[in-house]
Amino acid sequence: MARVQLNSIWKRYSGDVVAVKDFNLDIQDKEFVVFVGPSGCGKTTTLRMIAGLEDISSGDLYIGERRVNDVAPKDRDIAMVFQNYALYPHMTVYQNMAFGLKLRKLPKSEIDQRVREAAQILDIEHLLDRKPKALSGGQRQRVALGRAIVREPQVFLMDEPLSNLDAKLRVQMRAEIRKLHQRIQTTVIYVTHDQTEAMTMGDRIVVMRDGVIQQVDTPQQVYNFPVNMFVAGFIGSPAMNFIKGELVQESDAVFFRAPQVNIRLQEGRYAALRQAGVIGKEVVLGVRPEDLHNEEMYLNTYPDAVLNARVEVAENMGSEVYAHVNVGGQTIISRVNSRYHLTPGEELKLAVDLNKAHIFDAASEVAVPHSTAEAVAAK
Amino acid sequence: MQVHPPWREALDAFTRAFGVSPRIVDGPCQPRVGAAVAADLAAASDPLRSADLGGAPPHGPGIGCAARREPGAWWCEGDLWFVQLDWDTSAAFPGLPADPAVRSLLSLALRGSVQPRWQEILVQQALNGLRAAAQGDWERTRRTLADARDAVRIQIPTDALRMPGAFVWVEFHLGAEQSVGTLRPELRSLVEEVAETSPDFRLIGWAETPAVLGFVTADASAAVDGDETEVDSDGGPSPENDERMIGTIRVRSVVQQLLAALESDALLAAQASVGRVVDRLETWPDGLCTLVDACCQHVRFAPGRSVFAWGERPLLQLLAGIGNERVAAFLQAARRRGALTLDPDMAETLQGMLQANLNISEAARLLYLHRNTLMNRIERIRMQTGYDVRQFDDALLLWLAQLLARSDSDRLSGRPAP
Repeated sequence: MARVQLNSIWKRYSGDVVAVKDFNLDIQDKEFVVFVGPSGCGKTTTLRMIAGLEDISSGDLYIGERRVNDVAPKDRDIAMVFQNYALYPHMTVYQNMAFGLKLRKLPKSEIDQRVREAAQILDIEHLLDRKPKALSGGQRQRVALGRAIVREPQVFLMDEPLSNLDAKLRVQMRAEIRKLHQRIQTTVIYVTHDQTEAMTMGDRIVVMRDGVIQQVDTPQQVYNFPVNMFVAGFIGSPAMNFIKGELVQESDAVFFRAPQVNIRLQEGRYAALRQAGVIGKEVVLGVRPEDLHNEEMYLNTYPDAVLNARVEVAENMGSEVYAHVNVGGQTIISRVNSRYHLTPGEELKLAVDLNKAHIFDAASEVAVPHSTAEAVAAK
Repeated sequence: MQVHPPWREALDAFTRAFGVSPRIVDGPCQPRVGAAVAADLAAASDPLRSADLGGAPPHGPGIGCAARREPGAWWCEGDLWFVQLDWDTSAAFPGLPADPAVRSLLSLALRGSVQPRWQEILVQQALNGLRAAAQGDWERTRRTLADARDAVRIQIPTDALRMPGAFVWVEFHLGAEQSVGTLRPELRSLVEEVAETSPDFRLIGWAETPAVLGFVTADASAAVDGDETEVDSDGGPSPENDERMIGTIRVRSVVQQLLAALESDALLAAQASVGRVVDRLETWPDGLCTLVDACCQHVRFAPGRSVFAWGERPLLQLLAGIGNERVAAFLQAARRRGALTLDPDMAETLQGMLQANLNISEAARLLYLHRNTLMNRIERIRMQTGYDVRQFDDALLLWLAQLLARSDSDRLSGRPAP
């Protein structure tokens, strides 16, 4: 069990390519942290630096109390689980799980004990004599996890371990890995490009882009209070809607204006908007699809924030409908209840839930805090 | 017919002449390469080189084998004299005359009879080829490899390499331990144990880079689970019903599995280059030559890829064949419009545009950028380089220039030879 600290970690390759820039993170003992971001954002490189499979160009990496920059991977007390299970096809499950321990010259009795314990945790005792070919995808993934568990490491590093599984199995294994974490109580660092995986699994998630941490927080905080447009657009499915416009002050009120959009913002936000200096400037209004409502109650609650939209496509998801609507020439998505039968071309009124709407500076793409208190807290 | 080891005749003559009865001691001794092999080759060609009579071997023990001795070396343990017969075998002599001149006779005879092992020669030839290629002397590379077989009269045992198959060069990334310059013995044994788990991989020998030369059997009839052929934006392969292509895919899969096993079990990062699949033992120089070619392309154009197989990116093969002078002339012409060096954001933008077939909205989506931010970046690229990446010709030219400029700068900065 260990705390992992990354202090000002940089990764530079030849040709001035920087993969990870000034990465600072303090991962607590027994925490489940997920690195998420698009391909090439540096999440796997960071994980591999923690494992010791990549050099750290500069900065300090601590596992527990020990600085491990110069410690060989095998001496860092970590175990990795990869996307490709790396199972030996000609060995049985038992032999696959025991192989890593055999390489470490552990006594046979201890190997046997560890393998059987891990098999019990993963519920694969009945598969120990089978070969990987005779296993399903989920079972193979369990064996791969078992190979890591038997090492009893301080830290588990998982690099997109569920990517090879089909969607249904992935959902199942997500829960299994969470359960496993609760059971073995070890620090886990998990890499994925799938924001749903990140949201559902992590105690905290680290959103990365171009080698830079964009935001580190609990999944709910990241979802509710994204720090910039990238995080806002990356986390959430369907993605947040962005409407480009301008903030205009008229007498005492502040309006967001865009073609066919005129929204009077709530007074509670004015101080923060003034402080950010975005009034009179180009901004982007960010609204999640579930915060655009066609129901009377919302239309009455937010009469100054109603959009006139025309339905382009309605995707029926069973429990809800994703309505792709056109507002002033821009296409946005609204999640509406499936009891509404929307048809293409239909006119629709949508109220923006102003409590959950976000304003981003169009130039810097940074979110403007909802209140001055939030701005202070963010600092 | 019984085949005797090459040292048998010399040993028999010696035992008859001095009336001694040696005991043969078999012991594994790992193959050596690099400086040690060079010394062996020199020693083999000059049997009168100063004989080491009972002391340590002239070049000291090799890496990974604490008590490694050259054939013909003598040493004493207790009241027993031992002589190294070949790299794997020694002989113990009870009651041997103490006269060093007597021992030197056998040393000379043994050094004349023992040829370097075929594994060592193959590794050495691969290294020679890589060094020549790193200096940009491709002709010399080809010559070195093509002449290799005749030059050393190498005989690879017919059952040593299961054909068809391809040579593989696996280079290890030691991270913090890189300064050691070699793989520590325990890590070497870890690698060897992991390699042994792959029935299709034959480890031929170690280089001090640290790297290993291996051979992967490409059994085209074997089914490969979960194979994925990478298709790149620069003309990668489309799976064809071609035996050699299937063989390459199979080799690639075995190598990928090996690298994954090395990472997960030995926690060792490695990259591999794969030569062309050869189907007969006689064509091994071709296999080794294409391996060197693949290594060079890997280092120059695709340093981030874990496995790079010869022929999988035909465009890179074409670019690799262009001489340095022509590359320099092309870059000079390309720079007329502006500076070609793009910062990471700009380089990413160019890559995104190409991936999106120059479609701005799609590229913005791929790059997680606002459309206007992307437009701004494209304009900055145009201002700096003079190329408008919304135009196909400009985007292609700039991409080629980036690729060649990078390999050119690697060459100029004295990137170490493999």
